[in-house]
Amino acid sequence: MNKKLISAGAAGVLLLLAGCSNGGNAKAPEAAGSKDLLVTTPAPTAELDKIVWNNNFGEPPSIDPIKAADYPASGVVSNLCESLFQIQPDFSIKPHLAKSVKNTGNTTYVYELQDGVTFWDGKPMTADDVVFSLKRHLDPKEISYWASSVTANIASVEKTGPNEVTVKLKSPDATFNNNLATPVGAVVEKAQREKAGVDYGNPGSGVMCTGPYSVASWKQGVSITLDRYDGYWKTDKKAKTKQVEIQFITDPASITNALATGAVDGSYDVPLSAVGQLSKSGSGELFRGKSMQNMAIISTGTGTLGDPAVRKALTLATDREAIAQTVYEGTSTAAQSLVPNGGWAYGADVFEAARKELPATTPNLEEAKKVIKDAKVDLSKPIKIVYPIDRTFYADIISEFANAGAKLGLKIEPSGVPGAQFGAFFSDPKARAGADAFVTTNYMNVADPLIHLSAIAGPGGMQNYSGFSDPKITGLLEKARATSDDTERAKLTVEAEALIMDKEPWLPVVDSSTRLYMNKRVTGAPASFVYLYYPWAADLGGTGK
Amino acid sequence: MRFLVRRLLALGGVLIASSMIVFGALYLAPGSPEQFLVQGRTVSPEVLDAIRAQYSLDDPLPVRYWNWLSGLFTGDMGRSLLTQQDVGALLASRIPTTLSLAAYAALLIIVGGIGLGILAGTRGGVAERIVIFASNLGIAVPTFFAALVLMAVFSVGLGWFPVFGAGEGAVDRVWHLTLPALALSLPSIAVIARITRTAIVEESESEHVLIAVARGLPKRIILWRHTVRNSLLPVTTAVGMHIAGLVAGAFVVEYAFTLDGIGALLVNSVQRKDFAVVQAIALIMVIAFGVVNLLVDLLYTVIDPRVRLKKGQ
Repeated sequence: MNKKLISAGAAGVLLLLAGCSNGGNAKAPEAAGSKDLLVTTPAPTAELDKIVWNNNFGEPPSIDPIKAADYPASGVVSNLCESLFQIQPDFSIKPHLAKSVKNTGNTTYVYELQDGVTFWDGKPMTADDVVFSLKRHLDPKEISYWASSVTANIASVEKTGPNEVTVKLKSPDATFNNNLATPVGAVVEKAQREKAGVDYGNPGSGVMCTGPYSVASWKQGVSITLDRYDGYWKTDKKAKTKQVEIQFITDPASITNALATGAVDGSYDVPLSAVGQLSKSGSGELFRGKSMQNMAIISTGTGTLGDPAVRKALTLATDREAIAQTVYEGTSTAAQSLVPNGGWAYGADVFEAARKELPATTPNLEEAKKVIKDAKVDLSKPIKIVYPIDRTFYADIISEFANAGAKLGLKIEPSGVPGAQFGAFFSDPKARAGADAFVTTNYMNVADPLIHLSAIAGPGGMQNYSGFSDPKITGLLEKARATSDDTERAKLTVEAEALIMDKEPWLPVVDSSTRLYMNKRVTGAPASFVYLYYPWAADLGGTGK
Repeated sequence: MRFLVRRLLALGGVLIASSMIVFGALYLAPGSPEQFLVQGRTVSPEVLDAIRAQYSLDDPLPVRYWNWLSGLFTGDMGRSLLTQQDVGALLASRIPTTLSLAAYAALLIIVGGIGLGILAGTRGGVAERIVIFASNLGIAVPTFFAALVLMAVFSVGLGWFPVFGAGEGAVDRVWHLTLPALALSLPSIAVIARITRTAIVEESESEHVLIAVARGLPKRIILWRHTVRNSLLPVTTAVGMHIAGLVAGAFVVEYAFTLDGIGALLVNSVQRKDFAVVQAIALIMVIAFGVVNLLVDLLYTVIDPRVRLKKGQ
């Protein structure tokens, strides 16, 4: 399989491959799937002077945290700029630059800020910086890629004490603090932001943040070098490596070579084509970590596939376990839901129990034939599924769906488009016109199924590409967002999840895992999928080898 | 001199025409730049409006083109949409890489291509057959494949060369760019070797060479003055074409070897509809093409005095 990884295009479209090749017809993949995957790697025993890493998705266009909304930028910015909350390798979310939060009423959050936090220039982080940073999402001129329904729900952000900030929301949102673990809650120095003007976040002016690393140099098109910030406030989490040079190699063969020869010490999400060579390599180790990434087929809501009965029947009939075994070389698991398996930081019992109620992933043609009888559309019309032509594995997946569709009397046509054009499918409704569906490899920002499901199936959701709307689902999602008790909220969320999976706005295909490769001289980086918002480089150190 | 001025004016005309075509094509291409920027996220309409306003994306095409063109004359190439950076600064760091890569490859084409061609054309026998076979291979092997093979053998296998990067300082740079330049120049070397060989074989059968042989002139003079020099005219044309195309073709190699050149940047910028960057790089490529062609034409007059005479009339 020959595929090119162009730096992740729209919505983190990238093939990911799951760990745990347990095989078999696991009907409840979570039993093996999510629990065998790693969260961390062995802790370092030595400090190192320098580590060379690779950002497989390429160069960040900007390191302004509010413009870091995709793999290339987030994977770097996560080491530089910190947020009020922070996602941990086990996917839990903890207060970070906010020391504590008080929830008064359903819509008011009072944040007490951490003491002794300084920016890289030594100046202390103040409540004014925090207010300014949060308000950047509300100022269209700042062009925040994180300005969405979450930030639009903010009624006010105010300094209410020397070390205290109060946020008032327009309507209750129990997921708000979890969102603050993403760049929505990132804090930057106000004075430097204002001074930098239009050059903010680019190689000329950079940013001023509080993270464990600061930018030492940025050689455009080549690499960005990070230096440890010795004044880092969280002394027990001070970086163990003095300098980390992050390369921007995107060609899969070059990445493989750089890792195999030791020219680069490590990388997240190594190319699928590299797995064979690297897992046998004597120069390092390939780790498979718990992930929040999955692969799905998104219905545009039109054509034959616009009918929920057709979507459901097609998923039922397709052997997605075979896709996991063959296309993904046995390293991912068939997906039961659009919420990646294990992608929750609260209500684990509830979410895990709900998996048993969701339809199994074993193909069931008889049932599919029954379901498709409910379809109200003309089944003879071909279903056009679009994929980026440079990633041939998508064609293999679609052909598996086409085989299953044929048994149901459906005609499925794969349609390859150039990578750049494909990106537009995620952003431009005009580009989607004429297509029935398109593929995606997606990820959750934080392990909160409610945020993820709201984005996919909520009205105005960030990833609701078909205008999907169901009053019952919307009601449940809203009610869940207004529920502050974790277990109760989880129960409402799985209720919504079951209804969503009955309609399948997206067809779930497989759940992935994070592939982390590290040379034997380095260790410590989290194995799980947190490198977009967690300072992974600060955990890296030497093995003494 | 008048010839030079005329050619430079013509180059200016080509530049304006090509910049209009590139700008127009990019304008008509599907997708809107602000949508590429937000990576498919559903951001608020106010933010999209702010992006459109900041980069004047709502102005009609002629107005935008004119703004860009007039900015160019004041030395302002605009700002990159993607990196919010001054295009001049963005390119300044990348042009040296592509230029040194192209120059290195050009050197290999001239020395390797012409050298092998002369060898095959004059020696005959085994040498000739080997060169013909190798050039067939060279023409058939695509650049990206050559890059992969070279990397696998010399970087990963033998460890003689680095696997990525363009290097710093003269020596380091030559070391880093050897494999990329070789991969880039390989097809051209093959073509030039064949053309040179054919030209030499033809020339050595021409009347003036036969007469020189009959007159008993020394072999060396026959070879270099009568055969090689006369056969260089078609070769120069071909070499010029190939060298001029190097800058444009460099992106494949830049991508494979992770070099920070303008070719890789161009591909990325076209995909994101980053107008200012695409325009600037397109101009650089047209200029490179024009200048190399001009140099080739000037070279004709050195190689063949008859060309010079014609121009003088």
